[in-house]
Amino acid sequence: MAPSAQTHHRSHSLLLFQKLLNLRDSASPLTLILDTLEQGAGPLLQEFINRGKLARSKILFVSFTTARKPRNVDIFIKARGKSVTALITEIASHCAPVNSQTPKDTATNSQKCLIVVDSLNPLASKEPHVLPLFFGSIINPFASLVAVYHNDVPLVLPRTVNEYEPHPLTLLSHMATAIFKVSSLYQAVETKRAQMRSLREPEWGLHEGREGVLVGLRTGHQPEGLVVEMEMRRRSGRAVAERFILSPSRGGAGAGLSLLSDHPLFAPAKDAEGGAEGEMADSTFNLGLTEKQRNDREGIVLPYFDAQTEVGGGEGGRILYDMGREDDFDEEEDEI
Amino acid sequence: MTSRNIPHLLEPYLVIEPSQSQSQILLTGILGANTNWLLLRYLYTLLKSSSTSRSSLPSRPPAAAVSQPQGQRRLGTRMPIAVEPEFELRTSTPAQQQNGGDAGDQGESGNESVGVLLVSFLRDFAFWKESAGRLGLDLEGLGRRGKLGFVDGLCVGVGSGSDGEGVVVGGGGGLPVRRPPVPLAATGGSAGATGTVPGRGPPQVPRPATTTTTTTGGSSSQGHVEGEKWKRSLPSLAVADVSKTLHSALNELCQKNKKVVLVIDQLDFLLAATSDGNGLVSSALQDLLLDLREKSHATILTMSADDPLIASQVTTLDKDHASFVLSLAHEAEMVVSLRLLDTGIAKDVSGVVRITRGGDTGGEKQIEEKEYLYHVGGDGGVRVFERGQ
Repeated sequence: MAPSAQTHHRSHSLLLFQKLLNLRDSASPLTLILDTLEQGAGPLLQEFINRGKLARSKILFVSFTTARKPRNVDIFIKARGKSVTALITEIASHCAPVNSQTPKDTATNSQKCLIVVDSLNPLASKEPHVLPLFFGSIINPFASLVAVYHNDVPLVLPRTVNEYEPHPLTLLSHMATAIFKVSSLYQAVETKRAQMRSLREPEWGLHEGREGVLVGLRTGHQPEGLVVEMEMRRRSGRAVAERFILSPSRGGAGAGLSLLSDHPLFAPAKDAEGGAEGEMADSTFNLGLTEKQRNDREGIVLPYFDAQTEVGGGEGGRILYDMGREDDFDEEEDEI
Repeated sequence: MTSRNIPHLLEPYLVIEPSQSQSQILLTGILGANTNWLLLRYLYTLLKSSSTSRSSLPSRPPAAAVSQPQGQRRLGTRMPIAVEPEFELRTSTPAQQQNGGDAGDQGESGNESVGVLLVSFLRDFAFWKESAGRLGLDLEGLGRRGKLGFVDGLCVGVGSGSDGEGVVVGGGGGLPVRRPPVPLAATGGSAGATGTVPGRGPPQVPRPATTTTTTTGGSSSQGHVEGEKWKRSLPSLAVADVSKTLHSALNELCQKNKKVVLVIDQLDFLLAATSDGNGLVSSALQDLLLDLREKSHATILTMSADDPLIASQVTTLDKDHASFVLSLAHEAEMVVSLRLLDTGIAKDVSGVVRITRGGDTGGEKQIEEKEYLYHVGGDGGVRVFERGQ
């Protein structure tokens, strides 16, 4: 019973993650990726782009900070130095659903659009007020937006911003329908190891406490991969959270996806839990039920139901149990 | 004399491969562990082929003969890269010997080799010339041959009239030069004119004020007379002026060289000096950098990463700086951070150099992340070694 529920949960989570990566059925109109210097969003973005390419979506890359056009991108839009309205117009002109056709046609024929924004920080720091407008104007049923926000870069807000207003990141995480937080698998593994030995958890990069260090050092051969913390908000408002491992693709193959709990290092915790639920191995007697005992127990008609069937009489409250062969009848106990 | 050459351990990181086009390399240092020596090694690696191919080849045989085979032997991965400059050296030398002139030089080898635009905000040209001279790199000569461009961000507004004209002629744009739009530019100008330039320079510049003033004064006046347009100074520190000057300098170099590497030393000074606290200067500078990156083969930036500037993030200046440096680190393909030894001061160790990847993972070059110790000797020679060596 327990293993099958686990498998079910596992396949359900993986399917959900894939659905989000594929952006099928407008699974998430606004996907926010939070990254740091320790683990950039690059591999995850590339995965979005590759999957979009396979699904024959039109891929727009809105570049605030990127000089090179990434692989598989159809349209590369330079966003720097442009006003937000001009940018919206430019993006909309590329991915607008064909309006001249009838609504029926657009629903069936229109090409899906994947809009990738390489960094929301410049926009959020320059004009935090226009973020909702920006998202509202470019997202439509055929266009999904995937945007990166660098979590470790402080925002310098213009003086016009009231100090009591919510921080742009707060605003962003409220608006996003799915949030992916990426971190390095290597660092997650090291942290886990330290936890298992009750050691102080290591820190990297800016939190390393060494003056002059910006990026943490990765030494030796390390597992290629990143931990993706997913938080997906359903339409009902309920959030689904899960942690995955994304192993970037080598060559033409797609990236490998798995649950973080499937990682050998992160699995034992799960096993210990499972053991607690199941049979106690170390006791001298058996607390479990045999199949027959279980059937017998299910066969008992509880007094409540008995009272309902026999109307009148007022003789409810009996427990009707047919004694089996293995039950030993205790006279003293039943005298009362 | 090995200390004068490029440290072998750093060699693979100093080379900019053709596949790294439009990449950005961020060098960070802190007070007491500055990036000058590292930047000089980058300059040397970029410019040595064009330098050795000319007159300095016979005069400096040990450096050319000793350093390159060593590099090949120790680092197998560097083989193709190490071969390239030598090959180019061989092909270009006969042509230059026949031509002998500067113009012919540019025409023959200019297409092949790399040009460098050096923009310096905290140090003047004399400093770079002297330090590079110790490595056997003749910046003046390279500049005259169109391999090097220098933009002086220290002596802002010095002779801005004459240099401003030079800029306009060089860039071909007829825009009027904005004379003193920022108060700081005006003070910088007057300070430079009265010869108190070191007031704006950091204490690391150990030369007497007289050499600074004479050299800069001489270079700006002579440079104009002799038509040395490769040396420019900024008319002001306003971003628009900086942008115009850098663009025209870069365009000029791009005409003469196939690949131009942009090297900007301490751009964060410009941010600190002119920031209005609204984050506008920071974003304008980032936009400018992206524009310049598109034109150039690679960009090398040096920044300060001291804790008060990066970690505290309390005042607007802190936040501005941290946001600027960290954003650039996100865009960089490689980050090289210098810092002091964690355990304190040692006689034979100046600091630690850490080489890591940046936030830009789109490049094809795999960066092997390493941490080494380094020691800068009194003669400017640098030794880089592993811990315990």
